[in-house]
Amino acid sequence: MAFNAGCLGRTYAADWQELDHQRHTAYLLAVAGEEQSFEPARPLACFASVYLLWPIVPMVFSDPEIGLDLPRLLHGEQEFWFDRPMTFGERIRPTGTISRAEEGRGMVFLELTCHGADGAGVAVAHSRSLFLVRGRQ
Amino acid sequence: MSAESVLVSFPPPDAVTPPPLRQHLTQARIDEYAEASGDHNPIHLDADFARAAGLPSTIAHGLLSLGAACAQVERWAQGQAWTSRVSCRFSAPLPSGQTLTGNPTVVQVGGASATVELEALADSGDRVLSRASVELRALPPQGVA
Repeated sequence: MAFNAGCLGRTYAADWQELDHQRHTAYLLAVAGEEQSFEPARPLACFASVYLLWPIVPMVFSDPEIGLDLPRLLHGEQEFWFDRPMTFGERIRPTGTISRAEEGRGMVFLELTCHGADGAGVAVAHSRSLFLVRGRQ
Repeated sequence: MSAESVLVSFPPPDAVTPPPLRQHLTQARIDEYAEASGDHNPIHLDADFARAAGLPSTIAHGLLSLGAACAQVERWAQGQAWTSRVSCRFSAPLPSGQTLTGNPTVVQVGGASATVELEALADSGDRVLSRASVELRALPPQGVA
């Protein structure tokens, strides 16, 4: 499958995501482990991978217009940022855009930028992910 | 007086260094993360698939390693600060069963913010997370709206 660098600017939208306490507890146990678990007053920052990023990523990876070679795909960089503290129980609507799509040095570079809008329609949670597809040996 | 003007100084002087990161990321933990996150990419879950993809074994999700590192900082800061930004570069895959270690360091402290950085290593010494950074902002003291 050939990579399509013309996918730059493609956008994706996911359904509303609730920052659910039970879902967060499962996430917290996975990242902190049982021994180092704790009860944070607000969702952990990287829980955004669950409610902001991962609702979008499978759409990108399965988009036949992009043509990613999934077994050779690696996560290169990740950034999350927030305009205010997030709270349990609120709902976020994620959208994503392919913000970089290029080939070079035998690799594919695909950057995905996501924004999560709150109930007032204000984008409050954001992410930038760089994925790399290794060239065939 | 505005809430902003009474933000407490962060971090408190008796807790200026987050504790070291030490997380043993077994295949069971990776499986738990896959369930919790919805990321069921078989390079994390299926050893045969991972080897066919040129990896030595299944590997931990990059976001599991980053989440573990960030949670360590947030556990230290809880009740005093919220996280406004997290970033990292995934430098090498972490094979399942290895321990992720690192020493978070406070590199910047303002009146109401702090930045913690760390490098996280695998048992092999390979750098798994580089330039990992967590930016914290102080919460208003309780009772201040």
